[in-house]
Amino acid sequence: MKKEALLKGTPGTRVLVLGNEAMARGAIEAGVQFVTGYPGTPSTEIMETFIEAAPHLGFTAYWSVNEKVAFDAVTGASFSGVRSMAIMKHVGLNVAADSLQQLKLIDISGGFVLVSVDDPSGVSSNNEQDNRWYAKFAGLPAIEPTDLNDAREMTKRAFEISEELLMPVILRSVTRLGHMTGDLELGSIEPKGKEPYFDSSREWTPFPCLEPERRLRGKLRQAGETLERYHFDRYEGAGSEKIGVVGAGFAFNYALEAVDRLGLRSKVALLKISTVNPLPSKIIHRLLSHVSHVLVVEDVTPFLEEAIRAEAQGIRRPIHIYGRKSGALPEVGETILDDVIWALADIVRRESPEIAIPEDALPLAERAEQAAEAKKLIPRRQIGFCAGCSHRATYYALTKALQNVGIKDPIIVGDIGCYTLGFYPPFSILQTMTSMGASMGTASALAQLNPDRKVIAFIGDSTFYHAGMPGLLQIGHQQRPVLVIAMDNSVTGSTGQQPHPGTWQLAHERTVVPIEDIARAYKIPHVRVVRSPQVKRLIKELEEALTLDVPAMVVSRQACALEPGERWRKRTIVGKINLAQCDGCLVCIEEFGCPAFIAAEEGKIAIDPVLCNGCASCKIICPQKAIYFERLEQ
Amino acid sequence: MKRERQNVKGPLNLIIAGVGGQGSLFASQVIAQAALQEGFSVRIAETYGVTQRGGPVYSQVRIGHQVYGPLIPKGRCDLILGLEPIETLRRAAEYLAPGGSVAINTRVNVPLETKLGRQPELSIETIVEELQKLGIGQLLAVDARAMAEQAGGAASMNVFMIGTLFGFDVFHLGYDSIENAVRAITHPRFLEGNLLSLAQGREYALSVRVGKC
Repeated sequence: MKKEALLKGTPGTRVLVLGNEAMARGAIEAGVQFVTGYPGTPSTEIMETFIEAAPHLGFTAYWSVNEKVAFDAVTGASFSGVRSMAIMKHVGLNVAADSLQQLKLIDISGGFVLVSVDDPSGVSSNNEQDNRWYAKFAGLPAIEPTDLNDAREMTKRAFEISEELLMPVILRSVTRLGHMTGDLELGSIEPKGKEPYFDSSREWTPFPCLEPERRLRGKLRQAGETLERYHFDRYEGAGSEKIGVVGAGFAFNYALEAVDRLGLRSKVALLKISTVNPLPSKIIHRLLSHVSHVLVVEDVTPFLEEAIRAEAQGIRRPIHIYGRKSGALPEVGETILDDVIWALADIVRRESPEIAIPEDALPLAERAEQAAEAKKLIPRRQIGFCAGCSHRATYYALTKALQNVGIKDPIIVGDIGCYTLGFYPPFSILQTMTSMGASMGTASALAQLNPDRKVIAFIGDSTFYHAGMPGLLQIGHQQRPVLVIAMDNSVTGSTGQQPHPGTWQLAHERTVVPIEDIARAYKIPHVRVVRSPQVKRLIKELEEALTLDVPAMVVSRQACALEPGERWRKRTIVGKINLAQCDGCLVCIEEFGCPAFIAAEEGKIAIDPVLCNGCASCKIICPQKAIYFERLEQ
Repeated sequence: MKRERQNVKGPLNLIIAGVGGQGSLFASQVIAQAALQEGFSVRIAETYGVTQRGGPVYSQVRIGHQVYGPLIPKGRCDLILGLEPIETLRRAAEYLAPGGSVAINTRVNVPLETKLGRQPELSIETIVEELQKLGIGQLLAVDARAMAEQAGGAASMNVFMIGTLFGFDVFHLGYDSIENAVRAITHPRFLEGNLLSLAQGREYALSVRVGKC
């Protein structure tokens, strides 16, 4: 077992782990019994660790079809009295938010921890979203770890806190912590709690809501006292410093390192804030009692900066607060160390000019210009679909089918997944995208309001199960003439090939629910299933579907070219290019763009035998018919 | 012979630069495991999501007795392990410290848009010139793909490059701990090849005596 050390290691052992794995270890140490979630970078590895551990440690862990279903399942587990955890990325909580806003009013039973991993800079997302506001919005206790040991320890403690307060506890993390690797010291694993039992003698509903709403306010006040006992927050100072630096959650690392690098350890006061909600007022006032300048370092929005500014209002002495809102730190994008060093150095130079700042402690300013200069020279590297990816074949086929049928101004709606790369060359085919599953509803209205144009909606398999189904039901119910192209690679591809209800490769151990069966049940009159690499047939089917005036679905199906290729599909053939026939027209690169096409002599193209995955989708694309396939010796 | 780092103020800041599929994640894991064995603390920031999609990838690795966050300040990186030249320049221009060191695999991975003639080619000669303009300490440039093919196989190029780090004054981890780390995380099928390439990378770097620019 790959993660053996992490899962079974004895207390005190130091292991190399991801932040996400440290959180999983914390929950295992707390004796968690039920875990589920929906894959989403940057949160995925938490769940993957549980799935690997589950058979060895005897608890339940599985991927749910979406975050709301995951949240509701964890609710059921908590109502059954066991420690349980729901895991999702920041936007996933939007999907589960309806349940969150009701559950807050009910006394839970087993410890309920909700993990939300935010993605500053939207590295793997379409937006930046600060889920600390959800804690405030819902009125629930929330904490955020600073480093790996914090991630383990705070996750473990979150269960106790949840059980003491009878409320779900939100654990907020960020991409940089989740995907940071480092050394972690393991703690002890607590024995598993009681057997699941649902107590029918008490009520588990929030209505009538006014009384529960009143109680929630009281519970939140109690949460402040409870959280204080855990000392997640830390003040370092002598009580006389003029300048203070506050770091929230992971961003505290940057506050600490900036202070250290600039040689300010005994000259400024430091405050680590890991309690998100309710605000730890006491420790904040300890800092505000003596400083006149405070730099607040945090990710995404000025959540803490605004709160501290409000707290400072009550002090009869001017206190300057710096952060994302004041303009001292960038308003958007991930907090990075450089920005914090510059901001702090700036405050110190202005307010305490007697303190000398060593030049080599600062980032090298000229590198920023040099990087900008080098950028002009350094070629772009466009990311594209993997070799053997079925999405490439599908986009290629639609491009050809549109040409063949003579449709010049289609409306093409995209959705969330690897296939979002269809916005970029060589296809540049998608026109809109919003949230998971939104293509269905968006396309239905576009088809109604633009009756003279063909509306085509692309949706991936996992996205379809996640939130596309209700939208397709509406298309079927209203019979809107949308052509839905389901790009079915049988797994949640972009997050690392997690299984879902359509994963036919696992048919021996679970019931598979194919997309086409759902479409037929939803009264889509024209449903076809094609294997993606059969590009000729795919083009034919798309041509037919494009001419229909009724809802249609074409399922383009082929297993994801990455991991499952190893597990589920053996490569039997490999592509070759007959160089005598190749005339260097580059159609293969310009219209298809598989990374296995590499430059050969005299402007001709060859196929990299290592990269080629033998899907044979490119067989028909060459005008000179120079591409052929050879059987691999097994 | 193990040499002491001159700059003991902060952690050793190292960047691994390459394109998806070259094994930069593996390289950072090897170095981190070795550092852990030697009793250091380590923090790595990785690029996720484009690892097998041919996109630019880089890892920031920090090794020391006390390491906070994983991010390296601009212009304060001590050593760059360059698995691909264009990506090495991309990161060096932003992060390399004055007098910092660079190990570079000279085999250029030509981007699609360059293949299409939509953007100019960037030759290895130009890349090395540009690197030198940044004020490099030590530089080692080697066709690591060719060397690895001769040693443990083309796929062990990343491990050959790890081996070359032993030619750099600033790299302070021991060969034994790196070798142990390679043993611990390599799939048994590739272990022999990886160990061979690691040894040859080190041998190569020591034999050419990495020059000061």
